[in-house]
Amino acid sequence: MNRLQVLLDYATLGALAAIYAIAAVLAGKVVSRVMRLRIANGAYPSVDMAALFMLGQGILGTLWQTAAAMGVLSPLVVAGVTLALLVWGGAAHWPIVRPAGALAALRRRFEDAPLSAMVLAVVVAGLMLQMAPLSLLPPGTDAMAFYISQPKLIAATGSFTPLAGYDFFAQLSLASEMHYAAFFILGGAHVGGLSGKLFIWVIGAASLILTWGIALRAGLAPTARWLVPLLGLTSSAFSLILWDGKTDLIPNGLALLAVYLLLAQPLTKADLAAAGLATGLACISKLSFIASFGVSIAALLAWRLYRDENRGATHIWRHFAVAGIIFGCTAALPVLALSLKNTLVFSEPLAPFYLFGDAKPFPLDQVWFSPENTRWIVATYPLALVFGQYPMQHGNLSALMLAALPLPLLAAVRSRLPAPAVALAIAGLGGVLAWVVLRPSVLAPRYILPSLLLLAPVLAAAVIAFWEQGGRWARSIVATSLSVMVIVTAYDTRSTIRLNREYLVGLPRQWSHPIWRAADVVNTSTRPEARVFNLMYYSSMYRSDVLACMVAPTADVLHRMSATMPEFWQALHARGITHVVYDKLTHERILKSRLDPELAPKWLDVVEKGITDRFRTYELFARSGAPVVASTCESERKAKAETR
Amino acid sequence: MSSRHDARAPSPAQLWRNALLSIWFAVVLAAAWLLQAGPSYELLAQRLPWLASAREAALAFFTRPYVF
Repeated sequence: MNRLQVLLDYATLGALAAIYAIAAVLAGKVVSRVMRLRIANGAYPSVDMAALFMLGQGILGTLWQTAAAMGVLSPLVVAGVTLALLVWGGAAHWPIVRPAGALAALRRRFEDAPLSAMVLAVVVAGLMLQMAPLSLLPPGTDAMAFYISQPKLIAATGSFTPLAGYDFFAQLSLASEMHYAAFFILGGAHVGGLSGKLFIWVIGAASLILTWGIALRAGLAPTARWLVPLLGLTSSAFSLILWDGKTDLIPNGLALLAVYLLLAQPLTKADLAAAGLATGLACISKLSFIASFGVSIAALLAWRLYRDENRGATHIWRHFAVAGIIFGCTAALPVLALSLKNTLVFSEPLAPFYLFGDAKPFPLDQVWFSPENTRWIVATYPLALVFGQYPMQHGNLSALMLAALPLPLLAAVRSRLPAPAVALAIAGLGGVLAWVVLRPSVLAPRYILPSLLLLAPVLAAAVIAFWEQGGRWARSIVATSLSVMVIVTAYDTRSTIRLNREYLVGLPRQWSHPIWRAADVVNTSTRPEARVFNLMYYSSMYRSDVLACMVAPTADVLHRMSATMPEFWQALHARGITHVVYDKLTHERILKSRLDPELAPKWLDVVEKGITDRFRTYELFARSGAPVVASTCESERKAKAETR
Repeated sequence: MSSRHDARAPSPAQLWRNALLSIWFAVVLAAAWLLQAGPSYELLAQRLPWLASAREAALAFFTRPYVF
């Protein structure tokens, strides 16, 4: 790969992510204008932009999902909508950003701000920029298994085709994942995938700006305001999903948008409607938010309505009812979009909450640990959120948040905490408690991240009040803790970048990791209708056509394959399978016996290729006299279409 | 915080509070760093082998043996 090609790849993926992000901002403008929502108020252009972007991307994702469910997600549709938004925006709002004006406003802000706020602003921006290259690294395991594979398949087929082995996952709203599908359509497998990951970083940046906006509306002073995004950024529950390809940050950003909108002053019906829509989009994209953030936003809404309209019992109930109806109606719109998708794809309008047919439902009632260990986890809250290293947890809260927890107990600090920040913390705490009660064994801060981040403003205000009121010693504690946290985060980020320097310099299309090398055996195959039996979790590395024909080892498939090894190979041949990719570590336990090419029928040659001890591939070659292939990818596709 | 207040000697209660808060901040930050075991931990663990033992002990406490 020559250097020019790499530069071209970088330029293309950067431009694609930027253009798509601008289209999302404009989609936010269109929707807010059509629905008469109040998203932007002009006081802080960067926060307005982040808010419009967040809403717009939610709308775009839902639009792509609906188009895919109708089977019309094509390059024409994606490029057409994006272009239409850009043309409309170009005509109505050009230039979308005025660099000179924005820089002048930024300079004015900096001149007015205290030195400590300026230092924190530079630190937050610096850390965020430093993390940007990480988003171009190969995706993490969950993203390779589903979050990127599924949209890649949808992009390839132009319809909402469930990924083999993940049918029940496809019952969920995939509005967040649909951005990947749009990027695959616009930029192809390599550049499209990379720009999709970079887009998640943009989501992260917009989320941090929204946390700053929330802190502003919660009445925090400039220095404390900048500490709020820093608390988010130093939480690995946030920073890990910033770059590993998962999409959890998207609903998290929408939830933050809802909170930001509910803190508007004054709170109008347009704000309520916008907050409801953002809440609906957030909760439907991450169902765990219903149990946690749902409680937080309800508490916040109640507090806001009570504070604004405390004029007698009759009046307040009417006010609550009207506000609840406005909020609820817009929050229901994304639920309707999900229902439409599930009706079109599965004929199950109430999936994943209730299924009329006998399809495998998505497991909403998850239990991750034994009762004994669950009791231990619950007993160790909030330490478990910061120190826990449990399986599937994937990240912690910032240690600074736990360290700052006792500070609001100090009288000198408590008296300086803004009331809205305290209300946010109580709402956040309510959401976390609801989660612990409803899903005690599911310990994953990313599942309840918006509720946890609602604790950040009050803790940031407490840290700064402690700094200002506690004397020289307090300043030393705060300065040392913040410095240590920032230095460790920056050092760890730099080390990860250096470790992957070769990859980032070359942006290779084929990576030397065993998972990729195993997949390449299939990807480089020139056999017509190459079909893989994927005995591993990961699949985003496969060619689109391979992905579309992939067979997964579901219980049903394994049941149909008989117990003996010769019959196993025969069953693979009967389904037109040409390759088996095998991850021994994760899939050995589901096979009844060891994969042995020697035990294949005489009419079938099975060529084994060891990638590593863990990963192996097997290629099947039928000799003359082999039985006719009973079903191929094409015949199965036709049969499925006829059934519908 | 005025400079005049700074110059005043802290009371015993303030001294206790400051000492406890210093220890609390140090322990929380150190424990989180140890448990998350990022590249900075790896770097130091190569030079200070006892760090790995400390991490093992912390892990044993915070992530008890689990079953699915």
